[in-house]
Amino acid sequence: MPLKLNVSFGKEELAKYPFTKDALNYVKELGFSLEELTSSYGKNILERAVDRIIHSITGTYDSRLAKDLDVEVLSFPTAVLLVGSIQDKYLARAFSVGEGKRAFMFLRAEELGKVIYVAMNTFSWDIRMVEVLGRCYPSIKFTDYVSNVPTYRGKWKLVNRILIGGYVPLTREELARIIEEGVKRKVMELVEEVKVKVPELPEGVKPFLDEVKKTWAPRRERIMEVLHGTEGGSEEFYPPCMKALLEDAREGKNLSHIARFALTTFLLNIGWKVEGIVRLFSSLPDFNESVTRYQVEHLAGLRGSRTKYTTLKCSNMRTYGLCPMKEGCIGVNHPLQYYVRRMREQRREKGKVPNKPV
Amino acid sequence: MRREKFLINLFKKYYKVAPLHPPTELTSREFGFTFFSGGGMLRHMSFPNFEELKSFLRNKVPSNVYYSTAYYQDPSLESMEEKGWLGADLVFDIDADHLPVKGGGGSPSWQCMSCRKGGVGEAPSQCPYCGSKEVKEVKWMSMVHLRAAIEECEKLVDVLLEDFGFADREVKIYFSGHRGFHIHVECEEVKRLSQEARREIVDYLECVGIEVSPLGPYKKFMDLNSPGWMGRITRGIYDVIASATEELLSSIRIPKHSRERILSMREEILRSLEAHPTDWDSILRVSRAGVERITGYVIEAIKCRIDERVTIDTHRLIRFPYSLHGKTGLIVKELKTSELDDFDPLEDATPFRDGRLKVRLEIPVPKEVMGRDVERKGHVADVGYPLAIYLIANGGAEPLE
Repeated sequence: MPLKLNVSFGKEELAKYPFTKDALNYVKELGFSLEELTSSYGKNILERAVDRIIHSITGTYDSRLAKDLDVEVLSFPTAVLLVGSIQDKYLARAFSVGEGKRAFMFLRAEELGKVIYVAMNTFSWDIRMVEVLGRCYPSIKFTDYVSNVPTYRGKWKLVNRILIGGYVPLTREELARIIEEGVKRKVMELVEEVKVKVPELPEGVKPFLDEVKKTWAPRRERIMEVLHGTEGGSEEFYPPCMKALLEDAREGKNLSHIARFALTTFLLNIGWKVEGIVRLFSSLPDFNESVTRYQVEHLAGLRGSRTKYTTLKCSNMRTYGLCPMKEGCIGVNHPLQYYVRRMREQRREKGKVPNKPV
Repeated sequence: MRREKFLINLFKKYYKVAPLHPPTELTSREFGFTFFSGGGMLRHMSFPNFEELKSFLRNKVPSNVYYSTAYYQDPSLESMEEKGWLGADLVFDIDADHLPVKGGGGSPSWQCMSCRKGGVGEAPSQCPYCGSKEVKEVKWMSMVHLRAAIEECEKLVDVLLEDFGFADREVKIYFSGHRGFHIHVECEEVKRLSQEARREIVDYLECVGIEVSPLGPYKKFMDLNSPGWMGRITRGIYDVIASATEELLSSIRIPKHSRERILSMREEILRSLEAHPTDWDSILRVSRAGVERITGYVIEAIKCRIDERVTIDTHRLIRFPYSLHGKTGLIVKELKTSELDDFDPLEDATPFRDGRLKVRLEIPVPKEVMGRDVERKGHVADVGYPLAIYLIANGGAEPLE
């Protein structure tokens, strides 16, 4: 049945859900300019924006709202601007994850009508009430469902859901969780749309930017260390698919084109150098040094379109028959993710990175 | 040479009158062609209008015609990145080759390229007559293979309409021209689906990662009237119990004492299945292991079987509707679900129904091909025109007249 929503969406809602179309329009109406950020009112907004970002980085977001709700609403696009200007995709990701989680925190306490309103207003998802075995559920069009679920496993996997006439019935909490994923994606998009770079920001904004960078620096360092600090070593942390391909390459077995692509891009991404990879392929039956070097350099982003390629996702590895695991690796959907996780686990064991308190 | 000329003439005749339809957004589609003269596929073609496409087909007479399921900003550019992907239809490929039917790819026959002797059946690695290793194998479709594909097609379309809620007019079924069917779903909401999203749809259809079982937490949604797999599995379990025999239950490896309990308590189990909500607890008390095995057996039987790569790949070329298949001379024809049951390609998807033709068999051909007997005297077969074209196009015969 078609939905008739009767919810009040006032300023408090705009403050809680600043990514909705309603909130973004409201900000537009307020017409706040970049220069005004350096006014004393603007400083309030900047402070709150920095707060938002730091809470996202450290995972300490809470449900408090600034006293002045306009400041709260405006702090969101301001935070997006700050993060966008720094141009660091890992920071952007941390920020969007935090914003998504905070949205979920608010949403799970809301009545159903408001949750549905946020979803429809923000993403234009197709949602309706559907009756299953005598009970009515808020239900989302499968296209919106598969594009936004947090994972394709367990209870979230489409095959384990009821799917009726194109709609997936959900509980209120599940809908809120899917909105969280949508918010993550939406915030990421908003950050990517920011065209302003750091030097173009008014002087008065820079101290706030520095504060963000200072908090972010140690996290960034850790990420980079995990990603790049490991040439040659720690093969025990490679995912099974890459271990198998590496072994085949060393034994001089003929690897298919796609297998070579997958292995090369994986090794490049974890810090192998072009030289090492060329040497690795030298035992392949059709080895031609100059061709191989050219191709590896191309994948490393040193030639041609300058795109640095990443390796295939697990699902694609599976499609090409390169995944040796019957059920895949638990909780992993990308070979690099497997590697990063195992590295991190090992660090924890060594006591370098403390486990999140439980 | 004769063979090539013969086929080009036929295909040319067809493309003069072929009931082709312009595809949606023709100018955004990439086209690809192969030709009887060989030389690989001509790709990255695009046409400013339908007339130009038709005149291309009439003049160049390709052996196979493909178009992209994807829509591009500029389909004629060679690099996939530059083409500018705008979206893609959701397509499914059912090929007997991928189905668990014996010799799904067709019945093979073979010929030694050296001594020209051969036989029916799988090609030996080495010719038993002269020892040459150059042995060519050709596969021939039989109705058994086609029936298996038709069944899969019906299963898939049911799930697409019922579960995914596509409208009848959005789901088009085409005979692939050879061993199966292509199902095209064209609608705005599927166009922008990512590869991962399409994989998730494939996993749904193929029941990959399914945890729905009366033994698990989803049992509360499992009822004879439930929608989707929950309902299909429950109804499947009902059918198995209702028709269970000692042989069936033992073939799905249910232990002896469980078999006996299930058969002796059949009526009680069926009553529990008919209850709303289903009384799974009573059923599980009869035999947990039995219910588990039956559920697995049912899922194996009802899940869809498609070539997943085709659905996930958002840059695929697929046969152009109402073009001819170069290996069979059959039309890539649209079919209604009601036409599937009695579908006979050599009758319903051929442009040349009338007449007979004498052909010289170049290699051994099985007795039955696509539901017809290949009547022959020595090396000469006198068969209906559509079958003659298939024999010739598939490389098994030369035209004699």
